[in-house]
Amino acid sequence: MTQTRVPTGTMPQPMRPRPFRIQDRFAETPDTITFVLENLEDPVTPFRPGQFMMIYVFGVGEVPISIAGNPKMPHNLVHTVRAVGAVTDAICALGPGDVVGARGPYGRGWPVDEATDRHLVIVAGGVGLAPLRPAVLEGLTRRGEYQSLTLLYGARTPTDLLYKQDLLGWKASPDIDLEVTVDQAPTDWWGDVGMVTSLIGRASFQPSTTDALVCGPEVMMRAVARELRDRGVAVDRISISLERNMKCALGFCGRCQFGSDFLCKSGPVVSYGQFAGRLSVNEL
Amino acid sequence: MSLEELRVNSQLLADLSEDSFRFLESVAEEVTFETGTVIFEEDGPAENFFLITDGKVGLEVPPRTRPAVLIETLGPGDLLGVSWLFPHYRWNWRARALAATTVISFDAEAVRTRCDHDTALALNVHRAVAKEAVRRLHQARLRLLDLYKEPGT
Repeated sequence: MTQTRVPTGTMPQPMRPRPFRIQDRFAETPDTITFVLENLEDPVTPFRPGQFMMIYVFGVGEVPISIAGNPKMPHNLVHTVRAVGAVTDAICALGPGDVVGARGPYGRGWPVDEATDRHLVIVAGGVGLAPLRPAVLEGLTRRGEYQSLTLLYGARTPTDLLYKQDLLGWKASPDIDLEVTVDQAPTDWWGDVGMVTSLIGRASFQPSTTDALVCGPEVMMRAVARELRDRGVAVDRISISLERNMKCALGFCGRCQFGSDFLCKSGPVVSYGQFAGRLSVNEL
Repeated sequence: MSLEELRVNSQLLADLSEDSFRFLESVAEEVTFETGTVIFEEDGPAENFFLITDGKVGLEVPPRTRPAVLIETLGPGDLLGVSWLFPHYRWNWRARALAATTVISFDAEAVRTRCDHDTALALNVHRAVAKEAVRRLHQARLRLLDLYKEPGT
């Protein structure tokens, strides 16, 4: 039997993290940091809105983190990380010059191409704005391809809002309709107070020609999807981003299995119409 | 904006007979509030209710022993006022215009009296108020969950 030897250096190594150096860090909130990363092996890291990377802190562990940057600017990788566990705590403690490992990008992203010639309605809750930010930026870049572009964003308090400079710019822009609501606010707050679902009825879009992208806590996404459906948006035109414990991110290990799908491959962005039934199954 | 223009999209006005609609029109007037104007006060008499056509209204706990707390904001298309329909016809919260706001204001007592014998109008009014009350109940329950505190992306 003849064996063909392939030099290991030329074989794809999907599990090997590539080194990325932290160029910059911005504190969005007391527990949420945005990082700008430089790929030390390749000049660019192309990605699609909604995809994620596996970020590895050497000696600590690896976690999936959505890409939050502009898809048209792949020279840097932007991630927004909330410190909620050992690995994310370790990431948030890093600063400029530190190096992390990163694999990816992985997963199915937001269907921004399928939404052309239609109204694009983006609904975010809490840190759910991070995976949607690339879709907003892509929508603004390709604004002429959409009938309208709307962002509805809900958070706990004004202090908890991500990308405050972006929000101020978008609020002033004629290219995007932005409404922001919070659960609790001082009386001098400029936005709304209430759940993000309350903004849907007031937003200006034609439901029958709308594509909606939704990301946030699962309870919020279910409530938003129902509200959009009740307003007349087709459930197959509502996309949501689901999170489970991604580990290999390659569709092998099964840690992120959700019914008959591995979310690292079939998701994280999925059609609400196809997944609504599974969202009502306990412990799935 | 006239009541006629609001007719298609308003739960309060949809499906009303011409007679009932003309009655509501006769007890309605357009009112504009400057930013900061208190539209009604906590525990004040609920003499009117409102359909917001433009602007933003905040429901607040007024600053008695602590700073004011903004509970919820309402905007165009929303029904402002639920307590006017139930004894003792007094407001539970303070409503304040957070921006220049235009509303259609209805005479609450006239509508209550008319509802005693105009069952079609009474059904529409109660459906509209119930829908708004249920909407606010759902919102309050969701906010009780403090969803954004959960670990996320």
